[in-house]
Amino acid sequence: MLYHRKPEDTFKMLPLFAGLLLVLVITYLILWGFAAFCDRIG
Amino acid sequence: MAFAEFNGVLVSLFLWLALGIPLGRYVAAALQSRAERGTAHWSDTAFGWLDRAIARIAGITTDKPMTWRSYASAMLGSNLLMAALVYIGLCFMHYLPWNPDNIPSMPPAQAFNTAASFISNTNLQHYVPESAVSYFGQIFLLMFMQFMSAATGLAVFVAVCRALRNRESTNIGNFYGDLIRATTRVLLPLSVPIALLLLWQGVPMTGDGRVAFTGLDGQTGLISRGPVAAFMAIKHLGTNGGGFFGANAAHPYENPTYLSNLILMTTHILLPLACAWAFGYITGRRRVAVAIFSAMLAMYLTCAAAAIYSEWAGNRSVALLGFAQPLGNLEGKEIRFGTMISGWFVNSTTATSCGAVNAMHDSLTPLGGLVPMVNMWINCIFGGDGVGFLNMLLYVVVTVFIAGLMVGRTPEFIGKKIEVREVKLAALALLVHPALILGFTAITCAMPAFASAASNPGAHGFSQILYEYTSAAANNGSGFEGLGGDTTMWWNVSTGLVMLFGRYIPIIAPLAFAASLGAKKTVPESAGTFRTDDPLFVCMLVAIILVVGALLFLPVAVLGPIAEFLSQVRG
Repeated sequence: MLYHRKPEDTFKMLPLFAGLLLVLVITYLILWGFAAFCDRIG
Repeated sequence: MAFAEFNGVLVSLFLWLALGIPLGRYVAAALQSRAERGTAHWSDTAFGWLDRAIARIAGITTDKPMTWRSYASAMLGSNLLMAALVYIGLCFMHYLPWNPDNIPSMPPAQAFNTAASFISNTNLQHYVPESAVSYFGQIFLLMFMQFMSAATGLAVFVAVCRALRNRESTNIGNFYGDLIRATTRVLLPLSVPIALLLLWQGVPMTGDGRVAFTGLDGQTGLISRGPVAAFMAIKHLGTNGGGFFGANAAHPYENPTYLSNLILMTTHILLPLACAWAFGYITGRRRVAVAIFSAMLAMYLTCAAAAIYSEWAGNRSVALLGFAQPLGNLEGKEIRFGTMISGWFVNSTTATSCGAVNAMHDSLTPLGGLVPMVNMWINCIFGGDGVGFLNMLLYVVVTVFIAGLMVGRTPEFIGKKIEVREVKLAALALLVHPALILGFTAITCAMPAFASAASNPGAHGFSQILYEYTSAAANNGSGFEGLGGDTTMWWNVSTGLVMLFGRYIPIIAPLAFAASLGAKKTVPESAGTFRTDDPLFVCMLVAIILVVGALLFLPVAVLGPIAEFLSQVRG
């Protein structure tokens, strides 16, 4: 057996999947905020 | 042997220098639209139809002018969309087609790290690709990102050059137009012949799954293979560095011969080198481009000499045991490449932010291992496609500012006054890089559970942690490896965040200051203008980079590789 994980394990990790997707989106929102901040630097 | 190896170094260096200028000229023409060039270029005829087809299918306008804020928003939005799609694809990979080896889906934390890694052009791989990613994942998720991340770097590069050329204008071009041109006119046409050359050298290109074999002793096993040649071309051309196999360019299916090694090195350094020349062609400031290129080359050759000498001199601990090392420090190296070329590769892959490895960096001598870290700390010796030059521009602004203070004049760069706003933006972008590296290294070392995950004790264990965050922040992707244990969630999420912030902040800030400069009036040069195209400026630029780098990173260098070196000297 090559792999310890089974295909159905994917669905057991859905909360973690959703949480990290949220982290990804928030990171880009922070970067977008950084761009807005750069615009105000004078 | 030494002479033969050194010949390889010289041949590759001359090849790079010879190809860099014509490629830079082509990149400058190909990345600009016909309207801004003012003249026709053969790439319009050859690839214009493809650009228009992509724009029509995607439903985007590629000639609408953008301010720097709308350009940055388009870049962040499109990159987020691609990263999210790849993250979802990796998490549900088992349900996607073209998976002959029946590879299961990636765990979310690993998929998060991989998506962040490939969209940020880092390609830090916290997995063994041949057993963790299906062919669909390798080609349609990861290779797609390798094209898009490199194209994003080139797009932002041309936007910054355009802004610096501007005269009282806030238009820095259209992100989608730049992204498409970078893909269709630079990355795709160059990738095809490189993939064919690698195919000729023996790199496999097949859609079939693993092949079974029976050894002489009767034991059976499976050999991984796949569509490797296509993947390798953009892996190096895009300064991505993520391998099709876990052993990366040390694997005989990725890099089978001395010649393929030369092709790969040339491939990953060519575009960063060409960008320096392209800056001169786009802005019309070729002498400034020569000065910046000279500073990059001087630092590159110094670091290369240090890496080659350290590895060729051998390992002191081995010498103390009484063993001769006529071929240098061979631990972790492929004998078909040799020590000298491996040292040359170590330098080129970390100076250009490629991150591919043809030798185990963890097995480098302490000072040999310091060289890649120095390259990544400075992060502007050629650097990644497009973005390396942007990092250098940050240092240029700081140098011009300091020089202005020294002579008591308002600093200027290519006819534009450098004022408070530009210096604040450059300083902000420059300080984020060390803050990410030093901050996360410090947090990790302060947590016993994380720090003990390093596979070595003492100074080398510290170097492993330091290298990991250095590589992530510099978007390099190479590693000393040996980190893991029960803390993989920490490594995956923390390095994922470091890669994203390390990628976009040094892109956003140069876009902002270049646009700010472009909106200003051009000041005529006078006798009192500090020249940015003469040897004095080159010396000052290099000195500023070294002083800033030393002030930021010398303490951690002493705790890691230098302490390890001194412990070897002491015996």
